[in-house]
Amino acid sequence: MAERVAIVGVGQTYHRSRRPDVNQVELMNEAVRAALDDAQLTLKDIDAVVMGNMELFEGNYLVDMWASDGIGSYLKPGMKITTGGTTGATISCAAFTYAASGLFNTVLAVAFEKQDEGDTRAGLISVRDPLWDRFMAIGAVATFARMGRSYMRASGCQEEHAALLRVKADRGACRNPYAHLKLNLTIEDVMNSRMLIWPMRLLYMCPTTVGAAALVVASERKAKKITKKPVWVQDWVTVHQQSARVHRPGEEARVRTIGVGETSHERAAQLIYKRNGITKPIRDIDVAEIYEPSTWGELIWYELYGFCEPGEGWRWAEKGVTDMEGEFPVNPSGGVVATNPIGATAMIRIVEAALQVRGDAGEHQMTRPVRRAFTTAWGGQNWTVATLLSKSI
Amino acid sequence: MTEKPSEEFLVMPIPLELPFQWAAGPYLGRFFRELRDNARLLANKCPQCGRLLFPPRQVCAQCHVKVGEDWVELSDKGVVEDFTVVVEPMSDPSTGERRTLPYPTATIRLEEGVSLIHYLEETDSAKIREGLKVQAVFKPREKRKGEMRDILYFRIVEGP
Repeated sequence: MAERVAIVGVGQTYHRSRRPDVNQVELMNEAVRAALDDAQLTLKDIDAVVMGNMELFEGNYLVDMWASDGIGSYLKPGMKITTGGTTGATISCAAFTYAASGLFNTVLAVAFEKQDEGDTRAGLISVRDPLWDRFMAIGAVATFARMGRSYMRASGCQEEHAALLRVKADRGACRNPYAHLKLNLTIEDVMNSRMLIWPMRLLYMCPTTVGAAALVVASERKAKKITKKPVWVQDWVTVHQQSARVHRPGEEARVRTIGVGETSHERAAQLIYKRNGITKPIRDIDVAEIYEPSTWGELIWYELYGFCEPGEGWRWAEKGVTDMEGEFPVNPSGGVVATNPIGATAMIRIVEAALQVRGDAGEHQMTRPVRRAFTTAWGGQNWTVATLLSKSI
Repeated sequence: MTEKPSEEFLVMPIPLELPFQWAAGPYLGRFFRELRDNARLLANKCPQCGRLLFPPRQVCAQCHVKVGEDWVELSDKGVVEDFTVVVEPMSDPSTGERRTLPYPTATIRLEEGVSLIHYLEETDSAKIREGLKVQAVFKPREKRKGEMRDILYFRIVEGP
């Protein structure tokens, strides 16, 4: 990498189910203003703008045609990015790469979703292969329900373990001023919530959220002039897995996640750990902000990210390892199950991780010092973006 | 922070209809022709790693080699690997038609080891278990069009 890169400003909107008071561009602008204020910069200081959303959820397929006045990209270079659930992370990684390249010193990254304006499920099922399995497409609820079912069967996990994690997420969300669902949940509330498809209850699934996020990213030289508290982007990685399930002997023995096969989650985490000398995540990472559209995904992905051993995810839930006060806190912000403005969601992981590293997360700030934070995102059902943020370089 | 709306905010309904047509290409095309004409399922085999590619395709994503014409006829029998019974109202994304509830979807591992996702005939979730042996039921020849829905569903033939 030519230049080291730091996050020097973060911003997000307050997240809601509906925002009829603003249009899409005005929504983006709220996050842009927040990030510029946080960096104490103006648009004059910005060399390039990267932006995006999951355009098929709103049904406007060149949103960058409308956005320049809201995001400040007029007469500046940049591009629009759409990569499913990873959109916000991919936009961030593009901004990191721009700043690292030496071509741009200060880059603005903007991500949003206005889910009150379209049909997210119709958008989601249209990403499936039209000739092979689109006719069977069942949306995220049933997909994660099957993952949960398979996981319970393979590991001995009970529903209570998912409920514990859902309550953990809610505790975080209730402390996070920006979170969407703040419900003051008990285990009983969770386990009495409406059953959608066994074992998926309403509360194990993310809400449909309206919101936006933004980052200001700078090269090392510039970052040190902009802020006393730069958050260094130690590494970022994107890994794809193959496009459809095919025969692989021995696959049956693994904890199965439907439609995933050999997972990009495993490879992305291992790659970033190896490149950065992380041999034991629970010791070498202080906090993780992971992308968990469903609590069932969170349980399984602890294992795929190598946080714990295979089959141990639900035991971690039982022991509270990933609670804010636990040995390895995951999603002190409340996570995706509380707040999911899809295109912005993966950027919010990075925003929240950066706030933890800075010590600026407020009520949901970890009490222990945070030196290194790990974030993830999942795109479609086929690729993973992971980042590693650090207090020092 | 947004204030509670005190004025009337207008929202414009924009209904959108976009028809498409997709080419299957030579490999998936042959698969669909066999399905339509002979109710047979085909995979092709990677010359390098030897695994079966299903759906059939031109290139093995792991070996980056051309897969070619080493075709293998698959059994129409397999086992239920996992399943869920869908109870939410949902439309078939290909036709827009509302699906009849409840309906089970399952991952079925065919005898050769490849998997696909399809419907089960049995709709009572109490009667479905992982490991059940199932067999494909095809639509009659005159109704088959060369698409995955030429398989009507999988029928339970034997319990585990």
